[in-house]
Amino acid sequence: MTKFEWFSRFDSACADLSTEDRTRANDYYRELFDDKLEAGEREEDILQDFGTPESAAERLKSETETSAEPAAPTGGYSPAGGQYAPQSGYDPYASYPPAGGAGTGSGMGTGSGGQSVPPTGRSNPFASYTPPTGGAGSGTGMGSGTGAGSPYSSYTPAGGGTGSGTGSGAGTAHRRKMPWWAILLIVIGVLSLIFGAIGAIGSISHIPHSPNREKELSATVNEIRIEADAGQITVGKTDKAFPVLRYYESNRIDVSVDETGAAVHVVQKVKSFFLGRSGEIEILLPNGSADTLDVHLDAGKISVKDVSVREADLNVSAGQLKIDALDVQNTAVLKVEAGQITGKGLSAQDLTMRIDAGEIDVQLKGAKTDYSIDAQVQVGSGSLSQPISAEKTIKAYVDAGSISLSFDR
Amino acid sequence: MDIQLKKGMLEICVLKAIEKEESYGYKIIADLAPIVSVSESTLYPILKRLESANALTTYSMEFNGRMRKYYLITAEGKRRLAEFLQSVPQILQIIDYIGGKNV
Repeated sequence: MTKFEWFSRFDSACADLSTEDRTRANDYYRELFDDKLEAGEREEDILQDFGTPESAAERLKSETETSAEPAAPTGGYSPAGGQYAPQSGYDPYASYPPAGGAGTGSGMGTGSGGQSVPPTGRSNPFASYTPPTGGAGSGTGMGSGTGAGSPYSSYTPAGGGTGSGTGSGAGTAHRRKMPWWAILLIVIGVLSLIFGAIGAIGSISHIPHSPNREKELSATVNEIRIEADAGQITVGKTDKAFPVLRYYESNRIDVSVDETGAAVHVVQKVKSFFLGRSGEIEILLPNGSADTLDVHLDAGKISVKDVSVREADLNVSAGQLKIDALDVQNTAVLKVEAGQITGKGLSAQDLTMRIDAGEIDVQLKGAKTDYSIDAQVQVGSGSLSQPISAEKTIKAYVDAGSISLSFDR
Repeated sequence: MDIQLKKGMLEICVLKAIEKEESYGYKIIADLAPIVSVSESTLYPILKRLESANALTTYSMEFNGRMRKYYLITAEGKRRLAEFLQSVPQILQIIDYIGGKNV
């Protein structure tokens, strides 16, 4: 059984519990799962330990019924004496009156958003705010300043400090909390916009320098690894029988190309981020195919066009990941910390997309029913769960922002 | 072990595990492992019961890009723990009695 199956079966087995109980139990098992995985346990073993989802749910239900012991104090506490009040904030789940629970949100439209404000002050700064079930909780927009997201880089892909943001502000009745780090992300989003604007005011040319070097790689090269500080990385297709690598190198930007056997490792280092130093790196693959594709970029844009690989790992810290036909036979991991993942013609056996702040807007190859989908947005919109047993899986996680998935059939 | 008895003992064990400092699900299980094996699905109801009895309180904090729930003992939890320890001599007496020792 896979993790996904376990949790979807668990969820259906818990169907008759309250949403709150269900979410709590689900969070509990997910947290344990992650902790055990990080401790080095195997997925199968962990799920084995959990028992079947049905028995775990059964256990929960029987305990829930018998645990209806009153929260009333025992012994010497006297409710009348005012020493002890059960609603004094002990229970972080129950203390919000639904009516007062609406978060107030103010979207800024330019990519930063308002934040949900807990209705009442709380003594515990760690306690997180839970919007009431079905409550209003509106306006948790999050800015993602594409390209402008990196405070140490004055690079913006389009040349304008636009900082396109996704001010999606749907508080939804999603019972996720508004944790402190989400607020932090919002602050970072706003800061990065300011940095982006400063860059734009300086009217510095932000278009990455076009390649001034070209290298023909050995025809056997099919494990591609690129690490770059700033600029644009393009992965595409060539009619030639060998991969072609083009890049920009100058006295401010170092590029090293290390070719050993089937592997090529390209590292771009920008010595000074001052005045928007950034260069383009372009790799063109024979028939667009390779075995593995592993690209890590700090700030800028990764574009992939007409490429087919066995495994792909594409990672941008601040910026954009743009796909135009990418076929991955096994696992694809697409990750952007602040920015966007966009594009079309994407297909993978096992696809994971992750954004801290920003948006995922992707059209996948095939029909929706080809995939078992788990898409979660913590703050924002676009959560979707389709726990069917399909051949392919999609996992999409956004902390703050939005997810939009479409299918070409 | 008798189920009710075990339940009660485990509750005390869990309180003990969070007595010094707050802890989280995985760590509680790991800390108790040398003493008593507690499965994930056993721990959950215990934590829930202790929470609704106000013997512990919780908060969530980010860890490794995800949320982790921490459990914190309350005054009521400490009271329970102390109460148990006070009754230990009596419990031992009972055990001795059951074991057939002369008291």
